[in-house]
Amino acid sequence: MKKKRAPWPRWAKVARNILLTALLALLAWDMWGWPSLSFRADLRRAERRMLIPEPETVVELKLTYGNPYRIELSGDVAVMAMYVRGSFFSNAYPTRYILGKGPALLCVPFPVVSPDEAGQPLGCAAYVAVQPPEGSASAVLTLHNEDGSFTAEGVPEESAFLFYARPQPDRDGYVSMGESWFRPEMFTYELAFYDKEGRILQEISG
Amino acid sequence: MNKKDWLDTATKKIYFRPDRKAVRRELEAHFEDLREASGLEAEAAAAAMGDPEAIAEELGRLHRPWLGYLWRLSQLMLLGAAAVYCLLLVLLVWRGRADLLPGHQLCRYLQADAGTMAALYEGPALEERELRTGTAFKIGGYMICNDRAVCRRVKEGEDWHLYIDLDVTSSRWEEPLDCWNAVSGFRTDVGRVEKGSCSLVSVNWGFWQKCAFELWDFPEDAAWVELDFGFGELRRTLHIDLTEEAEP
Repeated sequence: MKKKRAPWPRWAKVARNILLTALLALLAWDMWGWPSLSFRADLRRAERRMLIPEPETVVELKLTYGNPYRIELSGDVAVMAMYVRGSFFSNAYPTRYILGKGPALLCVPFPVVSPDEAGQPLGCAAYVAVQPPEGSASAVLTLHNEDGSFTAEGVPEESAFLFYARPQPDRDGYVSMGESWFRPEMFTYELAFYDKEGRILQEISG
Repeated sequence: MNKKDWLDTATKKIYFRPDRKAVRRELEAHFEDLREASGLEAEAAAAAMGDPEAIAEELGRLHRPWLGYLWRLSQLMLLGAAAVYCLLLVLLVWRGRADLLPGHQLCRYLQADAGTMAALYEGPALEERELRTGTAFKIGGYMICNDRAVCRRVKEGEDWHLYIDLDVTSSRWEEPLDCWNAVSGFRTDVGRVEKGSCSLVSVNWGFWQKCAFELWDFPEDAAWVELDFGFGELRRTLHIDLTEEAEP
């Protein structure tokens, strides 16, 4: 006669169930492509995969859509990433820019919330001047696009300068910003850096 | 005290219901056995079974409820995980993402192992030169090994194409090297190679990755090609001598 197998003790059943749950969760996570729970973690993972060291300068802006937008600089490389909420997880879609020697201007490709507005937040275009010359105390950006020419004073942010620009409202009080504000190939600019005494240190254009 | 009252009292301190039912069934069987063997009436048999309050105390001590609740919770967790897993499987198949199904990546990796760079070949080679390789370096948690490098030409008068096969091991599970973005520059001894003159194929599974680069449009008289990996302090250079052929 076949001997009846002794039932598993309850603690063993608990342990078995927990292990099987962990295994299934791991398999599901793997199938999902190892998503991250935080924007920062997903971005750092993407940077590690691109062999980019820990950032030296981080600028975080808030887009008018409500999502954060992050600009990270480490040495000769800049990473710009937008936070996108996935089904359950956070996704960072980074774009990498190799910087040359000297200053460069990066354009945030989406409208950001203007920092100096009280009440209803207003959208504006944002530009980041990176790798400013040594001793830069201020920077001025002059932008030329299909809406005209605009000048903005740089806001120092760690080792970068941030510029915010927005067209004047039309007769009905509306502000509309076309692609020429957000696509570098559709605008030209002059960027000047000044020292504490107001002497020009360097000027670039693009 | 009748049978029902006796059983209710004796099992009242077993708080986990499935346990209480099982113990109750067992006590009932003993009760019936006793009655059959002794021919006692129900109330007398109940008295012969013992003090139900004392038995309840002892049984309550033996059958701790938290282990039962934990068991039930673990069952629910397992059921939930299985449901999520099945749902994901169905979703992936439904959305045509069979490439994400378990085992698919591993199969691709094992198949590619036989010749990653061969996937980039366009037609049989007219001329082929196997170059000396074997460079390996470690950066940012990745071990990058140059397995093979082959220079080949498909037609007479056409440019040479350089194929570089890399074997990458990551220190982190399922975190393959983003080969395209991790390469910060290509150059030769006679000038720079545009990144547009390069294509890439990469397969990975777990800690392991195989990738192959194809470079063209580089000067025919170039003596070496260098690929820069990484940025800042993580930058390393892979040097490939185009004049040194591998020993057969």
